[in-house]
Amino acid sequence: MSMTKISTITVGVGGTNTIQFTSIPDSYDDLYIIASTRNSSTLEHVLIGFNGSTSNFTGRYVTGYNTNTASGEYARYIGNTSTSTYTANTFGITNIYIPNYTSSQYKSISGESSGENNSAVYWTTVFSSNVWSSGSAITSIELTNETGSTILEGSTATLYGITKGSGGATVS
Amino acid sequence: MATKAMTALANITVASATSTITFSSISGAYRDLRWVISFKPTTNTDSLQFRINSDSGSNYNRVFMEGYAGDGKYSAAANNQNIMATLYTTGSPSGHPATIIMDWLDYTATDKHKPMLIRTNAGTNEVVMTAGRWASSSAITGATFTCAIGGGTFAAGTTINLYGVLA
Repeated sequence: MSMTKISTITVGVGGTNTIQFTSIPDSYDDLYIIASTRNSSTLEHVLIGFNGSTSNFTGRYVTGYNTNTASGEYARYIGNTSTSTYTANTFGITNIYIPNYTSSQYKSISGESSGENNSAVYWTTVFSSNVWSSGSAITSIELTNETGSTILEGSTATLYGITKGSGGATVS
Repeated sequence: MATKAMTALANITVASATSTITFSSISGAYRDLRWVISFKPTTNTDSLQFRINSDSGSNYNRVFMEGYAGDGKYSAAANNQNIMATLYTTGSPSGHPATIIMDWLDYTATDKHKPMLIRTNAGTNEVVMTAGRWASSSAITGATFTCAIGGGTFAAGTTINLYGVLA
C-alpha cells in the first residue's frame, strides 16, 4: 500500500488551540495531511510545528487574495483557515506534504491552502514553502492558528503515510 | 475489498553526484502519474528540468506563478525543449533540498497532449506553481531528469519517487 491513513482528528465541542498528531510511526517515507478548519478569530493563518517545537523554521508564501497577489517570508505559515467573519459553516482547506520526514537532513514542507468564503472579495489562496532546519525525525505535528485562537468544532485533519517504491530508474 | 488508488512504481536515491536520472518502461496501467522529488543540486544556481520519452523537440510549454525574494510574478514559456520545474533551488538555509511534486494527467492517452501540474518549493527562496503541457499525443513511457542553468549535477541525497494513480 503506497498511501496509508495513520489517524484522523475531529475537533469536538468547545474547539481546541492545537491539532496535534503524536507518536507518528517511522515506518513510512513521506507524510501527507489534509485539514479542514475554521477558527474563532478574524486571523486566518495556519501555522505548523514539529515535535512540540516552533523553532528552526523558515518559510515563504505566495498568495492571491481579493484582486491581489503577494509573496513574502513567514516562518511556519502553512496555509489559511476560514475565519469567524467568513460565510457560516464554511471551512478552509490545507494540504501539507512532507517528504523524507525521518531523514537526518533538514525537512522541506509544502503547503497548499484556501480560506473558503462565499464572497467576491474576501477569500485567499496560499502556496507555502517551509524548511525545518533540524536533522531529527518528525514524531509529532502541531497545527495552530496565529495568536492561538480556537480551532472550532467540526474542523478535521487526517494524516497519511506514503511509502515509496524501489528500482525503475537509472543514473548516468 | 477496496482497491488502492495510488501505487508506488519506482524510486531512486542518488548515492553520488549524477548528471542524468532516467525512468523508462513506466507502466501504462494507471490514469495519472505523481512524482515526488527531493532535489539537491551540486550547484546552488541549478534548476530541475525534464524531458518525456527522450523527446528533444520544442514540444514543452508552461505557465507559472512564482513567489520569490521580491514579490509574486507570473510568466510563460512555450515551445521549449524541456520543462523547468524550478528556477533557484537553494533557499534559506542553503543546501537544503527543494521539494517538487508533479502530477501528469492522462499520461497514457493517445488522443491528447499531456497536461501537468507542478508544485515547487525551495525554502524562503521561491514558491512556484507551474501548469505544463507536453505537446504530443504519444503515451508517456519514460522521463529523463537533468540539471539546468548551472550545468551541475544531482547531489547525493536527491530522491525521486514515482507513483501511479488509478481513476
